[in-house]
Amino acid sequence: MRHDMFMSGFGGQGVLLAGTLLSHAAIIEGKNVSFLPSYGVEKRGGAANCTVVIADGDVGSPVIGNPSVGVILNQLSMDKYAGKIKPGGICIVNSSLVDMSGFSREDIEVISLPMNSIALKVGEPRMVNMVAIGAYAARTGAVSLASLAEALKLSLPERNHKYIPANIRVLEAGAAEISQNSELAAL
Amino acid sequence: MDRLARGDFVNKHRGYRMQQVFKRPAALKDVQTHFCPGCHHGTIHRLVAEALDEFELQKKTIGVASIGCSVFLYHYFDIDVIEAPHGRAPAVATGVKRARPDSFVFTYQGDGDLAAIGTAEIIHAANRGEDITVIFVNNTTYGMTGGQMAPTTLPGQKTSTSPYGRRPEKDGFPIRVTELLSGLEGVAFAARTAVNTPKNLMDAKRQIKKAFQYQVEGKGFSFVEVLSACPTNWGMSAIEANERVGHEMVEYFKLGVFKDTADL
Repeated sequence: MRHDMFMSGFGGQGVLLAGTLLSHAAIIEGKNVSFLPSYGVEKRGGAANCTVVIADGDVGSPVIGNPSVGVILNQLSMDKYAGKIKPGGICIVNSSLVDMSGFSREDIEVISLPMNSIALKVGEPRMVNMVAIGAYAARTGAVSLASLAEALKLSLPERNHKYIPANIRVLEAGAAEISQNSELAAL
Repeated sequence: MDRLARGDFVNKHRGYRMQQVFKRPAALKDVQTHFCPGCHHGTIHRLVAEALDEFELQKKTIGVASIGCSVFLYHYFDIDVIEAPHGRAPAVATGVKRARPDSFVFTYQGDGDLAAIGTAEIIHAANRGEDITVIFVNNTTYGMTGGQMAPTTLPGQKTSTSPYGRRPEKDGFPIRVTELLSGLEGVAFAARTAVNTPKNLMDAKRQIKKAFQYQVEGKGFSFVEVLSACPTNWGMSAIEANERVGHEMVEYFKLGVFKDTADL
């Protein structure tokens, strides 16, 4: 079993937190994981992305040139990285901030979710990253929702543990977007 | 119909035209800046751009950008810019101005860049009296790298590398760069300003303009220090940070003109 995911957005969307959350969840499930963050120099904003590789065996390289799954949270990331997703792969994209009209690849599966609206509907506009990870987990089965919920205790600092229930609600909302479309849900 | 066109439309029908009296300086690009809420870089950028506009320097300016939150200068100013390594902007500016004496050359540096790693460069460029203008943004910290203690950090100020507060007996006192440079023969104009109040801001605008005038009239090395807020690294709200400039910083870093050899 091996999963690799590349997630990209702007600083403040919680891309790195999403990556560490996924990583901790995989560790809880007894997997080997690599987490490779990258972000711009700006104190606020700027670009942010991370690569997570989950494996039963050795991870091998933490750097993935052509990811199996690309999670794209903003337009700039779309323009820069959508082309790198490997053929046959999946692109989970935040349609709230990304205009897909110019996108022409036919060789990958595109899951377009209005993540800002979904998060807002659950009452947590800041948790776009949780919508994305919930959807990712439901679609790929890389980790379970239960592991993600448990991993929140590890990824979030103590002072933010009061937000864990809200984060779980948004993870579930993201996952629900996939399971509602039964064709998409992982086996 | 966008907002401006709508205003035009309404006023034409009322029989008078609206006149635009305030807009982005031509020397600034129409882009969103990345600065934190409450940062004074945006304001200081604007004052520099207004001075460039007023002296019509946009086409002949070569800016020298430095390292820190100021690094994105080349994204925000619509001028030619050279990026210098950390602290070396005055040295790069020396080369630029001597190679292209008809250009207008300024550096824009933070306190880490100018007063820490770049101490040698600024002192010697100032001492040689290079015909450049230096804008020095002082927020008593290393901003971009996470709020470490800088040469300008105030006694008692807690930073990520002075968690118990700066202790003068071990860490020395903050360096007053404007006063330090004023002692050099090569410096023609040196002033310290702030932009935390409308009054200070208008004075800062005046001094920046004067510094530019020194170069435009070939009257020697000009230097303007601008005290600035850094809410993110001070752990304060934008308003609290603005207050700190006026209540704490100006106590130690006095505002004023310290050298004005041509008495412009």
